Amino acid sequence: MHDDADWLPTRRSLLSRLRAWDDRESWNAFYEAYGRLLFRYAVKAGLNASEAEDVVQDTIVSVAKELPEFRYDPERGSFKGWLHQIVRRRVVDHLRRRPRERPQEILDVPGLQEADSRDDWESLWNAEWAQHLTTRAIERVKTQVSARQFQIFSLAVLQDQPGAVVCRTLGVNPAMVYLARHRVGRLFRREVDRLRREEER
Amino acid sequence: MKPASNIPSIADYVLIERIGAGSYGEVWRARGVTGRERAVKVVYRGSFESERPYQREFDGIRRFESVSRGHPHLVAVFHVGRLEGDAGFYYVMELADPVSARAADSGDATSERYRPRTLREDLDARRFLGASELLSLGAGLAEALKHLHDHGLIHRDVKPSNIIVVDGVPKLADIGLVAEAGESRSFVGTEGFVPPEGPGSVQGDVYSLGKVLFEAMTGRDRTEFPELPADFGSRPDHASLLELNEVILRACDRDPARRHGSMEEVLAELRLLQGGHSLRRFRQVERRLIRFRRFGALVGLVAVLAMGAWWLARIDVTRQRTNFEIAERLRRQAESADQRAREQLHATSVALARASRLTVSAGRLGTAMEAIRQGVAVRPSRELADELIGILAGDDLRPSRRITNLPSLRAGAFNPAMTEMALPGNGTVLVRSVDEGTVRLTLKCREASAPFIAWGPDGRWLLARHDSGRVRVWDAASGAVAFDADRVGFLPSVGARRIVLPFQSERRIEVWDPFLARRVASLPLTFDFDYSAISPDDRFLAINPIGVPVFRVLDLSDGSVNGEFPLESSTASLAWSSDGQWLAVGSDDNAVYLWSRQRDGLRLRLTGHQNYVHTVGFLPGDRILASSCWDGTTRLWEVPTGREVLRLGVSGHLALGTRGPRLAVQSYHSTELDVFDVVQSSVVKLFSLPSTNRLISPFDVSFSPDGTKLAVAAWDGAHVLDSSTGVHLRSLPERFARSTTFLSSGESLLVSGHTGCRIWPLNGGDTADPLVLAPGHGWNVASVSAAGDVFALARGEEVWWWKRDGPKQVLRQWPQQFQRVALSPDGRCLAASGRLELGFAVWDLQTGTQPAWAPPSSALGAEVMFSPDGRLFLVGDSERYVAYSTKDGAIRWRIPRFDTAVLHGLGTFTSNGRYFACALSRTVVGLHDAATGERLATLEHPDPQQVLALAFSPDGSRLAVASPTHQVRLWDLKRLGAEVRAMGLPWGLDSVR
Repeated sequence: MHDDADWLPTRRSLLSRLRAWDDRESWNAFYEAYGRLLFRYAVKAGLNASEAEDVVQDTIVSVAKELPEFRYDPERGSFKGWLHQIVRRRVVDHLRRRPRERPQEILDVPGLQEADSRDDWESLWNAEWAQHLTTRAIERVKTQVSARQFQIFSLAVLQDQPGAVVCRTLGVNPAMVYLARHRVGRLFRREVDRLRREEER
Repeated sequence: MKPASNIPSIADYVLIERIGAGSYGEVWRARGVTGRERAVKVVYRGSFESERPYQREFDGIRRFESVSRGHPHLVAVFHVGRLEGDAGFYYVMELADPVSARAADSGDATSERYRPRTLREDLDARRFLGASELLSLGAGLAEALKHLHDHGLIHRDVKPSNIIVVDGVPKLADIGLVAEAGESRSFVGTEGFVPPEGPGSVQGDVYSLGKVLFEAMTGRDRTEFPELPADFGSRPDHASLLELNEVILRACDRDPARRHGSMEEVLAELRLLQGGHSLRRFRQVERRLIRFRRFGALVGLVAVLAMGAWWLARIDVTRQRTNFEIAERLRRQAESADQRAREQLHATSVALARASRLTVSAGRLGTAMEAIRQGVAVRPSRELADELIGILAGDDLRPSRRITNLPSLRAGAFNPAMTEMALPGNGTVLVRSVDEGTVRLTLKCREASAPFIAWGPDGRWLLARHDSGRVRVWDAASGAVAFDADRVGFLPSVGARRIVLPFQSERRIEVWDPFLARRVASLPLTFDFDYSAISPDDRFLAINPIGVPVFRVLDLSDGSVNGEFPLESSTASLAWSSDGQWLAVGSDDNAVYLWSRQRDGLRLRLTGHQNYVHTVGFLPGDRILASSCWDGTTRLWEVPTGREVLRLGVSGHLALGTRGPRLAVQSYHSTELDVFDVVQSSVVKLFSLPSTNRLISPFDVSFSPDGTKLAVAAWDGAHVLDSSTGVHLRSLPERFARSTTFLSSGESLLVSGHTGCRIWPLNGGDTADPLVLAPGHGWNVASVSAAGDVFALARGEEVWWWKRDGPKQVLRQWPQQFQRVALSPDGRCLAASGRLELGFAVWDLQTGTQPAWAPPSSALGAEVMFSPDGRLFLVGDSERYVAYSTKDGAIRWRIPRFDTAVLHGLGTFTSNGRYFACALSRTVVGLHDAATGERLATLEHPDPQQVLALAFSPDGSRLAVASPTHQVRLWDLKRLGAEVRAMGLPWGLDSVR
């Protein structure tokens, strides 16, 4: 049996592998880890799906280019901030490229017509980033517990269903729900903390 | 990839449109000569980098061709052929049904074109399938895969888009990837369907099938596995789905070894479900059997039983197995339940013992002891020992006996020794023995009406007053009349040698001497009063003036007011302590007031009673005050702390024995009298200091080298007590004393404090002058080396040290304000500390530098000390004590402390250095093995007084604990150890030689 902890690459190991430019599998892993985040960010920033997909691709290319420059230097900012800088530039490129007659689409995105201001970009990024951390943490936790336990956890915690409903839905007893809630919950918090430490530093 | 415009030519087929393309080739919709439409996959040799994979592909499809037609859920391959000019090969297979108009209704032009119906298309349209559909889909696919596996082939890419529907039947397609089992391929499969260990094995196909079923069951993406949709529980076929979920969870286990071992197993489970059986129940039985098999002995037993079953040919072997499994499970459950119950019983015993000893109900210690016994029977533990120590340290009332058939004592009275009672008769007062019930005296009264009766404090004089004001006083020993008086007001008071008769209407009181039977004084009175009490020395009268919210003490020699304190309400009862130092007043504001005539007028208001307090009295020794109240309780309070010690659920006539700690209560109108003995702690003695102010003190306590004397450093000076009786021997007028140290075999005492640092000779009588050790004032703690030849003192930012007869030297470490100093026993090293956050300092006095072993002074430390052998250096702060080796600076042990918002209580070692005591919290003392720091016992006194200072007696058999109410508690560790051991509980302290 392989080592579960290595199944999803950590950012650190991923980035060092990405430096080897031609490691396709690592780029895939990078895409897996951050693609969704970048896509959602681009869409929330007012792009349509295909533009957003472009942004994801462009961002990954930019990351590849700038990666050799990026160092783990707390003074120079976090990985999170660095990635935001890159993706924001790509999104802004797309918005600029748009014909003038289509501003309506941008306006339709609540809160983002003002997206010029730094704070809005930041808060959007922060929200998406939080979602990203949660998703990633869930992915990692999934590999660490039995599927049965995770099923209980996802209903009881992620979907916030009452214990009795979870018991009925999965045909389990309350003790198992309690156990899953606490054990998986603890792992989940640990993973979020770990990702935070790794990616926000 | 070849461009679409290049239409290959296939014999007997007309290619209509290209319907798919992949890395290896294209798929076309084609029409055969019969008009039947087929799918034709074309694979170009040029798509492959080399010949070998191409050839492998070709071989694969040829193998599959024969296998494919053997199963209804595999896409049938009808023909395999080579392209013209050997540019590649093609194969003809079943064509998927077209996507129905409804599903394909996306509104754009492509809807006109053919799109193969796959499970993917179905799921996109319907989100998920129902249970029976799922089961037949799963079983069908499992069968198909089993068929492949049976022929040594692995599918490698089972996913919804590879499952096509032909004539309504789902079939596995994309056999282009089909490979021989174990054959390695570069293709990585489709993410989420491929197992973590990679594709290419039977277990890999099991995993993929599980994921397909997951998507089909939940409508969720396979990457979200195993999350279920929120509405899962409310689907009508929920029960069946839950069963299928079991299959899926097992098939998709990340560990291939825990998945189904073969497709046949998957199929078997799905079939079971299709037949309406419960897999969950089956699994449960299976799990039980596995557990059961682990029990070798029982397996043997089952084997025998199975034989018997076979032999009898009647008994159902499986049921027997299950029965035995159940029996075994029950046995184990019972065992673990028993273990749990025992632990619970133990924990309960500890909790009960604790709760009992912390209550104030009389008899609590008995309850607590019973709980301890119960706990010991389960497991003797240190927790129990600690509780027992707490119990032994407390006082209790033990019901001694019950005297029945007593006449009501409504107007009667006990003599102070509680041997007799005086009862009103018809024109008489009967003096009756409490125990025997015999009447010793029949005293003739002056009237027939029932009188008010009062005894004097020594039981010598007995007084009776009738409502008319007529009073008669008898000698209770002989029954002789002492004197009579008339028109006496309410109420007379009887002392040992004086009797006070109030004459309220005449605004005077008379003081009589019963021995002489004459009036010795007549004092003017400017106010009314009802209750009064003569002080034990017959010099004062305590009274409560009516209508004035004060309480007064009159001097009986001249009637002047000797003292008074305000009351919130009026008095209902009052009593003097036997030494005349304390006055207790029961009030109708439900409180008891305790007033010290000496200590700055210290006045305590004891609350807790729910009604007015009709009787108060001190128990012999004046340590405990009893109060009886209309709320139906009698309470005992500790003097001088005012802590409620005990509570009795009866109230009434209260009698306090003078010959021993005894207390009797007779409920009103009851004919029964309950007598209680006060059980005082045999392991803790309480010494009170003669200090008269209310500031927190003392700060230091120390034993003389022979253990007979105890010195304490208090605000009002240093005091020397006899360590066995607590008798006060000396007061040394060193105000605000901070430390006391016996010197030269106890002949003198070094006292250091705010007003000076002097050595007081103890044997030369009170007149001998002290020797000034250091000039000036403001000194804190002093320290002396073991040989008595090096001295150290702290004052502000200075630490002074000197050798006997040598010059004084000053060390500084700004900005620390030093409060404590500690010399190593050999006098070589000096440590000092003060404010916690400023750390501490250590100096080697020979070099003036910090010794190498010393911990970094940045560490917090409010207490510093050396062990008696000098091998350990201790630093204490509010959270822990840390012991460092003075050899290499290594940390030897740590003792955590808790609840120490205020840090007090220097730790202390026994003289042989084996044990170390320190305050673990504000109020709890821990005894430790000084070598390891391991806690041996916890001393928790029922009275939660702050620990200010600690000292072991030189032989280690006693521990003095100074508490801020000017008290020292002396724990008898020897006796404590004997008691703890007698209960079968651990006690880690050996006596110190």
